[in-house]
Amino acid sequence: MYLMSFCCKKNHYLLKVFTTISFVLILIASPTINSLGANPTASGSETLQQSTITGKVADANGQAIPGVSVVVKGTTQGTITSVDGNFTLTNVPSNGTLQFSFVGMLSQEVAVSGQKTINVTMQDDVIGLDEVVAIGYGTQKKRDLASAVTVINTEEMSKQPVANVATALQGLAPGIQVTATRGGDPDIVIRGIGTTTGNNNPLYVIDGIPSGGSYVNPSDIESMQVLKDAASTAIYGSRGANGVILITTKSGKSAKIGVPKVSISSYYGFEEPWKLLDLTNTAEWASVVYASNKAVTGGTPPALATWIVEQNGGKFKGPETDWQSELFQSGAITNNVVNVSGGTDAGNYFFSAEQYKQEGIIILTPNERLSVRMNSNWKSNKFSFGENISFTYNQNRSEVVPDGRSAIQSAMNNTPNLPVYDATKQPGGFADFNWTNPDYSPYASGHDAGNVIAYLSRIKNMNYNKRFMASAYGEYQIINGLTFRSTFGITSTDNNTRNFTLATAGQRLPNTTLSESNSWTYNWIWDQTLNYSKQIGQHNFNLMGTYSSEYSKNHNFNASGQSIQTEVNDVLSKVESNFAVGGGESETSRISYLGRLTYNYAGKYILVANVRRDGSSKFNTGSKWGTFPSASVAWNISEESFMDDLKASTPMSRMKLRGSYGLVGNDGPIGAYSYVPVLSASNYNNGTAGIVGQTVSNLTKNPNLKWEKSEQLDLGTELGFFKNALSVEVDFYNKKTKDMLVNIPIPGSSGSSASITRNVGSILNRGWEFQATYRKSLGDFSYSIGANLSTNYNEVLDLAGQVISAGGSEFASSSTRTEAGRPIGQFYGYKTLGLFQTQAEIDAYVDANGLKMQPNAAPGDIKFYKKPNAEGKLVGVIGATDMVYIGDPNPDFTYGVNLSADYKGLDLTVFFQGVQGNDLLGILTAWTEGMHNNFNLGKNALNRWTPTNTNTTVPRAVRGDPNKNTNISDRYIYDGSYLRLKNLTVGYTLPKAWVNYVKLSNVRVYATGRNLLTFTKYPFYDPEIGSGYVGLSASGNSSTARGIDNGYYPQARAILMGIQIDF
Amino acid sequence: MVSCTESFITRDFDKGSYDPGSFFTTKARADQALVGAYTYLQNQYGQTWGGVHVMHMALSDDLYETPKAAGFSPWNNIINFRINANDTNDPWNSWYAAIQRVNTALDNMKLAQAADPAFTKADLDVMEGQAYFLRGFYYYSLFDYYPKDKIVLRTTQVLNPGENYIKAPSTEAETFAFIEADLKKAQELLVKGTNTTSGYDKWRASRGAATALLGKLYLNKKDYAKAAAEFKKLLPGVGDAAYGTYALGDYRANFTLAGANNSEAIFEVEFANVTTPSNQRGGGNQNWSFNDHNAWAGMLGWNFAVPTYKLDDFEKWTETIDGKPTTVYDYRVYASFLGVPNGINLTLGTRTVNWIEQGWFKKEWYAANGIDITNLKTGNDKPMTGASYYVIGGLDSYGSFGIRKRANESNINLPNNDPTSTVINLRLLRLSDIMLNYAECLANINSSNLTATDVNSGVYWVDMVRIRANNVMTGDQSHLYSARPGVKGQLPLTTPLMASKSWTLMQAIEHERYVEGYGEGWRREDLKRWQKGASFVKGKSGWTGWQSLILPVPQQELDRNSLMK
Repeated sequence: MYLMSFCCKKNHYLLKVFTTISFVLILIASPTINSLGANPTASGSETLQQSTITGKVADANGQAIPGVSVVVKGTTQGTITSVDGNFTLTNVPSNGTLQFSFVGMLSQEVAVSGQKTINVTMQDDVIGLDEVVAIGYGTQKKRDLASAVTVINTEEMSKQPVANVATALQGLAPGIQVTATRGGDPDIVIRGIGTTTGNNNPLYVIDGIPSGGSYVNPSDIESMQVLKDAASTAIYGSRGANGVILITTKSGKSAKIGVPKVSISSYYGFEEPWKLLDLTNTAEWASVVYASNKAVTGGTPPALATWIVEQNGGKFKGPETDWQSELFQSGAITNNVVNVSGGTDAGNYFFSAEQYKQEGIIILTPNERLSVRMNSNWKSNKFSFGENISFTYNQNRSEVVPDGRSAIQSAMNNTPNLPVYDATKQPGGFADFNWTNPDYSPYASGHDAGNVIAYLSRIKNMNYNKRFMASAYGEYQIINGLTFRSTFGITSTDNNTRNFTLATAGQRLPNTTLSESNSWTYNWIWDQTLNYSKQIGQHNFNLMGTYSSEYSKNHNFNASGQSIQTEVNDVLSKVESNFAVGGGESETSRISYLGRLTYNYAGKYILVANVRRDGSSKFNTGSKWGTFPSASVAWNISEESFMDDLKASTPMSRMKLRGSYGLVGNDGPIGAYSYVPVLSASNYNNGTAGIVGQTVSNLTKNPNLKWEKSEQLDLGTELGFFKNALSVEVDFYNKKTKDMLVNIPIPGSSGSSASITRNVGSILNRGWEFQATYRKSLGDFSYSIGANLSTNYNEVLDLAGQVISAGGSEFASSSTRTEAGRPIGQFYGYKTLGLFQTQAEIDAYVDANGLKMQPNAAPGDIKFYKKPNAEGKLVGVIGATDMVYIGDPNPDFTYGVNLSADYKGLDLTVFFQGVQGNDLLGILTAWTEGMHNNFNLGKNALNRWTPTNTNTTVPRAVRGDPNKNTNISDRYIYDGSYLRLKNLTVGYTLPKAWVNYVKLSNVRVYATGRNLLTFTKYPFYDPEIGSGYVGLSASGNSSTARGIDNGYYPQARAILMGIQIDF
Repeated sequence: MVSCTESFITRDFDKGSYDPGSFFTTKARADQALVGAYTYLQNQYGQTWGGVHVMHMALSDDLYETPKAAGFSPWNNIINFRINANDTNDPWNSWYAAIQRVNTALDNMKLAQAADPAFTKADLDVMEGQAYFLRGFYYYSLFDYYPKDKIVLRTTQVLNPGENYIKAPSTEAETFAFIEADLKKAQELLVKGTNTTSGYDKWRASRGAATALLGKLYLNKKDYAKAAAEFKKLLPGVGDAAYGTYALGDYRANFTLAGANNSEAIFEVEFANVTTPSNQRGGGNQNWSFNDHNAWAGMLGWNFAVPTYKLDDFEKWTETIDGKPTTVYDYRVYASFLGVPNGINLTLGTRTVNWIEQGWFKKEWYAANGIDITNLKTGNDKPMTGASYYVIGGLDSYGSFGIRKRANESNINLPNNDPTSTVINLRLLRLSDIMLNYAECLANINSSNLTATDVNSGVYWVDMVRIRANNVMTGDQSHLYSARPGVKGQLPLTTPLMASKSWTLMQAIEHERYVEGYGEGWRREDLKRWQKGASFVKGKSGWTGWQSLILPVPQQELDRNSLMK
C-alpha cells in the first residue's frame, strides 16, 4: 500500500520544505487569530452609533435572491441573505457602507446613512466580473484573473444539446481547436500542437481530479474553464502543457430549504450524413474500367465490363446497388436526463442520471451511454466536506472492416452491379461472400472490394467502457482565512473490447473468431492543500501550498480463439481452437509540490506566482524531478482614478492589461518504463511447437530522458465598453516547447532500426486570440452576439536534424513530413504540372542526360514536377526524391460566432463555427478518379482525359497506373476551409402561470438543428477531418498525421426536439 | 500519511517483460536467447519479401515483368535497387537485428553457465557453436548482398543507448576474416554429425552447416582449394563422418512437408503450422508460413510470372504415351513448376484440376510449341481468350504459384485456405548444392580431369546429381513426374551431355545448377561469382544495379550513420 505508507527516506528534503511552509503559514496566521479572537468588532477608537439593519435583495424581476453576501465595507462583518432574500445585520455603524455581492450579479455598495431598512435590486453582471472562477486548487474572481483563462458560458451550452464536452467547446472559445475524430471524443488542441511524439490532448480536471478524458455528462456541468497559458496551467504542471480543461459539476440548489428540485430533460431526433458522393452506375463504371484495362497491353477488362461494352451497347439493366445508401442511415439520437438537487443550511446534494443513445449514421454503429452522478457538500461550523461520485457506462460498436479499408471506402469501392444479399436474402446470405459462387463474386467485376454491409453485419466489434470516479474532500478552517483541505480521488476504468467475427462460406470470413481484451486502470490521487487568505487594508494576499501524490496502475489481459460452429458464440468458453492469451501490467506514479502566491492591491494590481516541483516515475533516477515556475501580473487600469475622465467621455468602461510567463513540464509523450530495458518474446517454431525465445528489446530505451518543457508567454487585454455591454478580450501568446521528446531513428547497423526517444526538439506556437461579446436588453427582448477568432503559427524549431514522415496509406508509406523550419505535419508529395497531351511532350520531358523522366507515361497521364538535385540538375526518372511540400493542414485561423436572443420566453441560439486556410489531403480522390483498378468510381471519372476530351484535369484511365497517377500529389490537396451552422436552437419557455398550474416550476421546449448548413469547397463527405486515419498501411500519430481523409466518419446533420421540465 | 518521495516514483520493474540484467541465469534461459537469434530466419524468410526475396528466393534471372505488373511500385523499387526502398532496407536491418540477437545470446550464455551448475561446458560449447554459426550466416548474407566494404562488425550486443549506435564499417578483408573465424569457431564447437543426430534439434545449426557455409565463403572468393577441402567433408563416400553423413534421396522430397530435415538437408528454416504453442510467453500465435512466391496479387492482379519459355533450358525428350508422341521433360521440371503442360489431372483436396489450370501461361509459347489450347478453360470454366497471360486457377485473388518448390499444394486454389502460405521448410543448404559447388572447385583446380568415375573429377559429382534426377520420384503426386510411372528419365550423363552441347565441364555445371536449384536462390550467387550479372540484364532496360547483383547501402543507413560514407 503506497497510499498509507510513511516510508520516507533521509533525503526527501522537499517534504521538510513543505512541512516548514505549512508552519510558516500558520505562524503568519497566528497574529490574525489573536487579533480577531480578541476583538472581532473593533474598528478603532472612535465609537459611532450602531444599529440593526434589515432588508431584502431581489433581482430585476423582483425575485428574491438567496445567498447574497452582505458585508460592512472595510470589516469582516457580514451575512448571507436567506432563501427569501432577507438579511439582518446588527451593530452596523450609521456612517458605514454595505457591500452586496453575488455571482453573476454586479456588486453594489449602499451607504447606510442612518437607514434601518435597505432593500436592494441587483443587476445581472453581463460579463461576470465577479464570477468566481475555478483556477486549480482554488478559485478567483474573474476580475482578478491575471492569466489566460477562458470561462465557458455553460448557460449557453446547456441550451444546445451536445453529446460530449469536447463538442460543446467547439467554436465557443478562442485558442481551442476542436476537430471531430472517428467515433470517439473530438480532438482538442489548445494553442497549437506542441509535441511530435504523443497526443496533444489537454488535461481534463473534473471536480479537482485529473481525468483521462471528458468523462462527464454535459448536462451535469456547472462550470467549465479552459486554462491556456503557463501561469494558469502551471498548477497542473506535469500534464498542463497542452492546456487544462477544468470542469466543475453541479451542486445542489433548492428554491426552498429541504425541498428537492427535480429537473427532467429529454431530447429525441435523427441524424444523417449531410452529403453523399456522386458515384458511377454500373454502365458508367463499365465504360471506364473497360477503357482502363484496354489501355494496358494484353489487359483483360472484367468479364462484366466487357459484356456491357462489347455485347450490350454500353448498357446495363441489372440491379444497381447504391452502396452509400446501404451504408449510411438516418440514425436516431435520444437523451434523457433526470436530476434532483436540494439542500439545507447544512449542505446540498445533487443526483443525476443520464441515458444517451445514438444509432449512428453508418449502420450498426450504435453508441450508448448511461451515467449516474452524486455530488454533495456539507458544512459543520469550521468543517466542510463532500464528495463527487459518478459512474459511466459506455458501449459502442465500430465500423471497422477487416480488409484494412474503412467502411466508407469499401462502400465507395464496391461496384453497383453487385447485390447486397444473395438470392436467399437470409441472415448471412450476403452476395459476394461466397467466393466460390461466380454469380456473386466481385471477381466477375474484377475487384475485391468487400460487401461492407456483410462485413458490418458479420463482424461485431464492441467496446464496453465502465468508468467509476469518486472523490471526497474535507476542509477545515483552522483560523479565519486559513484552511486545510484534503481531497482524495479514485478513478477506476474498465475497458473491454470484444471482436466477434461470424464465419461465412467463401474466403472473406473463413473462421468464426472471438477475441476479447480487457484493460483495467486504477488510479488514485491525493491532494493536501493549505490555503491562506489575508486582507490588510487594500492588500489582498492568498497563499496556497499543495502536496499531491498520484498512482496509476493498468492491468490488461486478452484472450482469443476460433470456433468451428457458425451460430452465435460470442463467449470465450465456446472457443474451440487457436487459443491465445496475453496480459500485462504497468504502473506510474507522480509526486508534486506546488505553491502559489496571489497578491492583489485594491483590485488594481494583481500578481500571481506559481512554483511546482514534479517527480515522475516515467524518468530514471536523477531525471525524475522538474521544477516549473510561472508568474503573471495584471493591471485593472480602469480602476485607476486617472481613467475616470476617459470612462466618462468615451464608451470605454473597463480596461485590464495582463501578462504571464512560465514553464510547464510534460511527461505525457512517453509511457511507463521508458528507460527500463526489457526482454521480449521471440519464439521459434520447430515444426511442431513453439520454442520460447527471448531477445533484448531495449535499444530504444533511453535512461537519460527528462521532462519536456513548454515555455509560455501570454500578453492580454480585457476591455469593456458601454457599461461592459460589449466586452473584448485580446491575447497574444508565444509558446515554445523545449527539450521536446522526439523519437530519433537509429541506424539499422546497430541492430535496431527503430527510434529512441530523446529530449532534442523544439516547437514554436504563436498566435492571437480575439473574443468579443455584446449583450443588450431592450425591455422583454434581450440578445447577445459573441464572436471569437484565433490564429496559430506553428513552426518546428529543432528536430535534431530528423525528419518525421507519417500518414502512410496504400499509395505511399507517408504523406506528411515534419522537419525543422516548417509547421508540423505538412503534406508531402508530388507536384503536378497538368496532363501530358501528346507523346511528343512525354518524349521531350527529359533529364540532364536526355533520358525520359516519365518513361511509363502516355498521353493523358499526369506530368510530375522534377526537383533539381544538389547540383541544380534534373537527373533520373520521377521518384521519391522529387516530392515537395504540397499542403499545410494547419488553419490560418479558426472562428466562431454565436447569437442568442430571448423574447418573452422564446429563445433562439445560432452558432456558427469555421476554419479557414487549412488544406486537407483527400485520398478519396484516388477512389473517385484513380482508375488504377476495377473499383467503382466517382462521376468525375467520366470526364477523364481521352484523345477527344483533352480539356480536363482528370487523367486517363489505365489499369495498374504505370505512370503512378495515384501518387500522393497536390491533386489530393483541397482547401479544407469551412463555415458551418453548427447549431440552431429555438426554444420556448412556457409562461410561469401555466406551468405553476400543473405544479411545475419551469417548462421549456426546443428544437435544435445541428450542422444544418456547411459552406465548403471540399468535395467529399465532410471537411472536418481530425487526426487518426484508417486504411491499408495507415500510420502516423495525432500530431504528425492530421487532415487525411480516406473515409473519415463524417459529421452528421441532426434535427432534435427536446423538453426541459423543472419541478 | 504522506507517500514516500523517490521510492514512490521509482517504477523500474516492468512486469510485462523480463529484465535482461537478471533473466539469463539458467541453461534453459540462455537457450531462449539463442532461440531468439534463430527466429530471424523465420522472420526474414517467412514473412517478408523484398530485395532478398526477389533476388534470392524468387526466380533470379527468370524475373519476368508481365504487363500487369507494370508500374507496380515495389517492383520498380527492386528492379532499380533504389537505395530508399524498403526492399533494400529491410534485409539490411533484419540481418543486423539478427546479429544483435546472436550477440545478446553470446553475451549472456557465459554468464548463465557460471550461474547454473547444471549448465555444463559441453552444453555451452554446443550453444556457442550455434551462435557463431548464426552470426557467421547473417554476416555472410550481408557480405553477399551488400558492398563488402560497408559491413559493420559487432561482437557484443548494443546496450548503451546513445553511445554506440553508430559504428564505422570494416574493410572487406576484416569482414571476410570475421565470418571465417565465426564459422571456424562454429565448426570447432558444434557437435559431431548432422542435425539428424539423436537428441539434437533438427532445426539447429550443425557442424555440417558451418562447414558448407565456410566452403561457400571460400568458393565465392574463388579460393577453390580451401573451398573444396570444406565441401569434401560433407560428401558421400569421400567425406568425414565427424562433419555429418549426408545422402541424396528423392529429389521431390526436398520440397515437401514429409521430406523435412531429410538426409540431404544441411540447414533448413523450419516452417509449420503451430497454432497452440506449448509454452507461450506473450508470443502469440506462432503460425509460421513461407509465402515468397506470391506477392499480394490484388484482384486479377499480377504475379511473379512463370517464365514458361524457360522450360527450354530444361532438357526434354519425346516418348510415346498412349500411342501418341509426347514431350517429356527432365523430371525436375515437374517438381519445380506448376502448370507444366502435360495435361494430367491433379487431385487437390476434394477437387480435381488440370495442371494446366495452375500458373501463368503465355499463349504464344503454347502456339510456338504446337500445343492446342483451344479447349482450355480457366478455373471458373470460362474459355481462355484474349490476353497472352492467364491468371488461372479460379476466383480467388491469389492467382497461382509460379514455382512448385515449397508450394503448399494442399491449399492451392481451395476456398478457405490461403495458397500463398506454405509450411514446407526452406532448405538453405542442401547436399546437391554442395556437390555441384564441389564440382565447380574441382573443375577450376583441375579442369582437365573429366573422368566420370574419378571422385576427384567434377564430372563424377555432376553425374551423381543427374542420376538422381532420372530416378522416378516416390514422393507425393508421383504420377506427375513421369508420363510412365516406373520408367526412369532419359537424361544423359554429364560426358555425353557435354559432348552433345559442346560444353566445357564448367558450362555443364552452370546448366546443372540452374535446373537443379531452380527457384531456390542459388542463381544470384552463382551469377555473381561467375560475373554474369551484366549479360543477364542485357536487354532489360532500366534494370540498374543488376550487373553487380548487390543491393546498395540503404539511404536510411547513410542518413542515420554518419560513419557510413
